[in-house]
Amino acid sequence: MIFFHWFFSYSVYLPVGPDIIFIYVFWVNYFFSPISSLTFSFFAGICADFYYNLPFGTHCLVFVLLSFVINSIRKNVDIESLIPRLINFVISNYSVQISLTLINLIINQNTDYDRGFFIQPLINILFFEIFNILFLKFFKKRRNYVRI
Amino acid sequence: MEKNRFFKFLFYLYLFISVSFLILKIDPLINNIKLVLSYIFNPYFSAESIKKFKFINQNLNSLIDAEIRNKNLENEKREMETKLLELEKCAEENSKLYDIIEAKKLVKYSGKFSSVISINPKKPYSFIYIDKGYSDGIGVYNPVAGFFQGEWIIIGRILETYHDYSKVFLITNSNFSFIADTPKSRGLINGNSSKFLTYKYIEGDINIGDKIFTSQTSMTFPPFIKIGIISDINFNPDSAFTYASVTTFDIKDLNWVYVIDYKPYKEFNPDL
Repeated sequence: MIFFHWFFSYSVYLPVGPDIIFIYVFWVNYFFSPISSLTFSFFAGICADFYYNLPFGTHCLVFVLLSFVINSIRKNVDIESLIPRLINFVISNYSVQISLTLINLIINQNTDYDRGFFIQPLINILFFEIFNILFLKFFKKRRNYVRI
Repeated sequence: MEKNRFFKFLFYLYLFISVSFLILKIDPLINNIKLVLSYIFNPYFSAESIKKFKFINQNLNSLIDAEIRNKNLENEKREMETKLLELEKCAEENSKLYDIIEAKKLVKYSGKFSSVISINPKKPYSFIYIDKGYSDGIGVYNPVAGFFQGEWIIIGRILETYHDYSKVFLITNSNFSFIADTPKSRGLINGNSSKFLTYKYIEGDINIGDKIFTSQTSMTFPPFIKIGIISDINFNPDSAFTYASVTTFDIKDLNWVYVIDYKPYKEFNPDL
């Protein structure tokens, strides 16, 4: 995860790199058990906090909340269908972006506009779909939902 | 059910830890860790990066070495700053000595230089104390002059002498008066507890800007030492009531003085 994130962040071809950490967090929360996905989200948040220059703990908090929300609603979401998956991903990503910006604003009084704010979720969903297709192609099996 | 409770427990635990991170504001520590890690592992991705792992030991050693050198340099910097302060003091002292030597060339009377050690903060223009006493040859009634902007100005006279310090009665004291001259007049100077003296009982013509000196007829001070400049005149039809304001020295500029070896009353017979 960190390797991919690192690799894409240093890409010179894209003005804004995909947020691989978020993609993994989103993916894990739908396809792993709630406890594993919550723990993964927390530690992914720590990784993201190390990686980004936001106040330390911001990503931890947002990813843990995201994990809790996804685990609460995922029984009602059809993640296998393309349109609900896209809508769910975009809403989750924008929610995370808004939460990160708000926490940064509250703690640092920093109102700097991040140019990736609107573009990055669209890049993220593209990469998410690519990873999804690759996963299905190589592992050739449908993932099972985990029952809570 | 048990899993659900454990999930909730974990959620609250992670939430608490995340909020603690935010509240504790450990960003400076994290930044330091990031810097150390980036220095050790070299963050730039390349095929060569994997080789960098071989040099972790060397990088760590050089990091510690750099820290030790940094500490040493900080100590050296502190020592240099202390030396610089001493040098600045020396330069200041040197400049003072140069001023004294230059001033000494202008004074015609023999005497002793002395530093001002105390000024009354409530009434700064009344008395001052200087660091020379009778053990240094300072006598009572010796005139005292100060050097201001390249000129000697009379500032007072010795009132009391002790072993190693003396009290100077300033001309600006409201109880001090003495005869003074301008090029075309003669009158009485009276202190005003400020840097402005009053020149009154004037005989002759005065103009604003006239320099005023100690008089030849004065029994208090040797003649022709500058007192100040006439800065304001209050004319009166009766010339006896015309008086002028004389700007003299500023007490804040008074750091050292010259005690003139002059005894105005040495031939004075107290029986008279």
